[in-house]
Amino acid sequence: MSSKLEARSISRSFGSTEVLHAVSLTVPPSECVALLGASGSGKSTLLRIIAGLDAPSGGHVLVDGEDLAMVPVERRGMALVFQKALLFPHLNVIDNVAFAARMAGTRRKEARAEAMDYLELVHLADYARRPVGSLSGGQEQRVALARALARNPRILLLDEPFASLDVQLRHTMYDLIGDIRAQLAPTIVVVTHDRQEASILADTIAVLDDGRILQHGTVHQVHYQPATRTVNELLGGLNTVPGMVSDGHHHSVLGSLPVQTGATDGPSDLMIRQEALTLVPARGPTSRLTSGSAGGEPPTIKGCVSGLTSLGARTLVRVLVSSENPTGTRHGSSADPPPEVSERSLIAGGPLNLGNTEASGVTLTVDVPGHPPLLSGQVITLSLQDQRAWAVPTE
Amino acid sequence: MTALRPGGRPSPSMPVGIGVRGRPVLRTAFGVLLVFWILVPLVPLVLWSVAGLWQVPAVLPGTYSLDAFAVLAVPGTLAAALSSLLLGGTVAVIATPLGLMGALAAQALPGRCGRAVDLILLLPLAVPPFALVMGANITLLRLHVPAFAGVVLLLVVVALPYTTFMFRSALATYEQRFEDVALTLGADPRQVLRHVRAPLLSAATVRAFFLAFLVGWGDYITTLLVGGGQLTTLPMLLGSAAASTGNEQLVAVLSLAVIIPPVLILAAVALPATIRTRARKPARTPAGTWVRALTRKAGL
Amino acid sequence: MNIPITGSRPHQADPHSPAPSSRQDLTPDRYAARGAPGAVTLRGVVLAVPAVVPVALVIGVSVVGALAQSLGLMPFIGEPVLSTDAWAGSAGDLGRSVLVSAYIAVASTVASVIVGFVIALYVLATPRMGRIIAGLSAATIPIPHLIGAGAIGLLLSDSGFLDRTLGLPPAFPTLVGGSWFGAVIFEYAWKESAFVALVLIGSMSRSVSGMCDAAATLGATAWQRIIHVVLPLSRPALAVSALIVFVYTFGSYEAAWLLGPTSPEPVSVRAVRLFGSVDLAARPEAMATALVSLGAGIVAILAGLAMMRRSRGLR
Repeated sequence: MSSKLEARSISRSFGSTEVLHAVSLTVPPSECVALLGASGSGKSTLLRIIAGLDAPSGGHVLVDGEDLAMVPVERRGMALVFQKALLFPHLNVIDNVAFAARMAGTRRKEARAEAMDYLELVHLADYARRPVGSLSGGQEQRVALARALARNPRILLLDEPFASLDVQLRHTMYDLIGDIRAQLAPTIVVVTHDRQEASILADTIAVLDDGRILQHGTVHQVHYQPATRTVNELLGGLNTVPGMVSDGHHHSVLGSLPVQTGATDGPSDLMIRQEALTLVPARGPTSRLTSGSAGGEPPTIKGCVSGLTSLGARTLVRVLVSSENPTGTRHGSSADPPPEVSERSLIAGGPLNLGNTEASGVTLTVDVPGHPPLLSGQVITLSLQDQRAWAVPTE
Repeated sequence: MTALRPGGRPSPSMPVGIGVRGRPVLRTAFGVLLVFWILVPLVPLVLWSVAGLWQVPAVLPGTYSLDAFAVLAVPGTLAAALSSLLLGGTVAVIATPLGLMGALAAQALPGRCGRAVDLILLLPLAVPPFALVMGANITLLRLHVPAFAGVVLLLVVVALPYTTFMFRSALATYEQRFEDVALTLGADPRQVLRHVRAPLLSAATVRAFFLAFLVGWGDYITTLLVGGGQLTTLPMLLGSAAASTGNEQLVAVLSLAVIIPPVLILAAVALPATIRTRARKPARTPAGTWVRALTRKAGL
Repeated sequence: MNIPITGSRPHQADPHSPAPSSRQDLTPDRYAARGAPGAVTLRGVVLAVPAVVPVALVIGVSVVGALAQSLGLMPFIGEPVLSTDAWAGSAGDLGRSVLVSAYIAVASTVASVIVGFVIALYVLATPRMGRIIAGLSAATIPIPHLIGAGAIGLLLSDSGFLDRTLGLPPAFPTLVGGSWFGAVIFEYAWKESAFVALVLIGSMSRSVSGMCDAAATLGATAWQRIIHVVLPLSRPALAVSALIVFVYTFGSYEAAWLLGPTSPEPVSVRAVRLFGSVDLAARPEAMATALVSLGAGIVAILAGLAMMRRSRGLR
């Protein structure tokens, strides 16, 4: 029952404002793709266009190769779950779930019997005869999901369906979607602004910003191999180091780091995910950065702690790394404002701002487990796991 | 995202919503039909007001003239217009605050008492105005209540359901927490009243006042039965003109004199608001930009 | 909660402002809206009195006065004599009037509810043209029924505008003054359909587009959306506005008087004619008619509310 979905250079403008710029997206059968973007990025508009609730200014929506331009919403065989459950207040739970079957002309009794199966799928069979007004938020969304699934959609569209639920409830809903994928294997497009949700639910993530898809790749790719600096930021990457790429190495305040093969030479931003950095127990190496050229050892970076932010079970450690003053003692106090990086001088490359040590540092953020006993100003060594440095040309 | 959808639907869209599909021509034609339904009864009114000679089989007037409008300058008509204005104004000035008080009381009183207040204030809707007047008339006469005061009293009772209802629905959607916010920001109760509650209820107040004014301005039956001919308002003139045949021009001109002032007021109140909502651009508002910036910052 | 709020205000800025008194101001006002007992009830009663007393008094005086007059206990001139003549003597005519009024009210209500629903549907489904129609509908609300009746008279009378433009055949039923009250019903339908439409639009504009989108993605065609979504969603507002229209048209005077035939008479026309009659003996009959129409209005409202409650219970 699952189908291949294709959006071909979809554009959409509201008056003079262009919300989508020739967006293309392919979703293979039974795959789940997340459209990730901030509010206003155009992700919901794209979903509404796919559903047929809105018409594109240009481009085509194809399902299994068939152009849907002339197919109205109700005959597209898709189902859409909205952020609000939008249960019909004049129908009880079971009749809401049976709605699609009733519209298709099924008798009430049969429609209800079928609907019951879907209510069982979302663990709400006991609520069949309840009025929808008596449901909690999570139950409402589960009914909405059952109602959408009961239509046997070729493609299931989810528009931030769990945004209004609390964290625990959201995780049970993720499990539910997992069950549904295992049992029914529908093609799914889920719109979300939550990168964690996108990562949990989807096989691939399409990152939308300002009406353009910046990158469409696996969960791993968009996190560790972001196509642009914006993608990195949208996926929560906290470390962007400006510099230059040449000969497969990125040159910056951090020194020279090997980057991915195929990186273009020229001014580039180095992306190092905070999760890819670890603290190295003090051994007293002298160089502020040792590239891993000698025997596959991960590169290390030396800096001093400038701040800690607790995330609960994990801690973000901010480390000030400075080219002229690698030990960083002069910037030890956390009350000091973090030094700004002068982008122009960095792009120019070469010896960086000799007279001004303040301007030649960079703050790296490291995501570490637990709550490390670190003091502000303490000199520590960072290690880059799996050489996961990724350079993209400066935007 | 929905914030990006402008008030009017964008041009290339096939509107879904209720989405009665069909050829745009048919949709527009049906719309024109509805416009017709609403406007057609007013067409002969307008034509008659400017008609000079309009003989029976002729579709349009044979000659046009503004002579009929001269009646508006006659002292009797002016006095009647003034009476109507005074009647509408007095009814509105009394019924609006009373409606607010009634709505507040219905909200403040617990359960059954609140419902009782609601019920009593809506009760006049169930009473045909002529029945109300007939029963009360003899008592008003015996108490020597002046005709104007008697008409005002009865019309205030007739208008109260409308004003109460306006405030009731405004208070139902009124966000009490705005007042709490103001208090936590250091506003004293009097300032809260003036700077929070009054502005938030101003739209309902305008609507309530307008409706109560209309009750007085357009009343015929109460003025007829209580005033007993002592109180002459525009509808009274109109009623006597319409009751006999051959006064088409007069009826038309007086009708327009009754219709146009409230419609102008309505337009003056409603149009700026409509224009404001239409002018609201779907593009990034400053607030929207801020939200984007903040969500970026938060790493979303 | 209260004390820190008051305390944090910069009273020092004004040495003359007595801080304790303003603290007292705060308490009743804050709790009033919250529905805490005690002071609130008192405040509620104080607020209720100026609005409730005039209404209760006028209606009470009016009903008692009408009853007393209908029984001859409160004659305009002369001694009070208890008599049920006004009720018994004209029961047949009175009954006929009630039937006529009920016929007008039912026909007008059905017509305005149907036309009003269609207008609301069009406004909600068609943004641009709909906006114009909603505006025009709103503009007809301030027009008094007296003027509406005058205008409909100019439109529908024997030599009216409609006759002139369409050249109606002589066999066409008489609308103004006709025994079927065609023009009266047309006038009510014209005015009240705008009212019904505005009530429906107001009650549905927020929910309807989301619900219809959801229904469309579930496979409901446009027609199914109207029948299975819009109509059920609009039912409460439809029922309330129908009830209001029914009660209003049952007891309304102007249109029935200007556009109706001299006989049969609806209750309002009959009551006003008897009330204004030079024969003072007609007064009690006028009062009986007024009371009957009041009673019919109340019965209609109670029946309507009971029906609404039952249909809610059935769901």
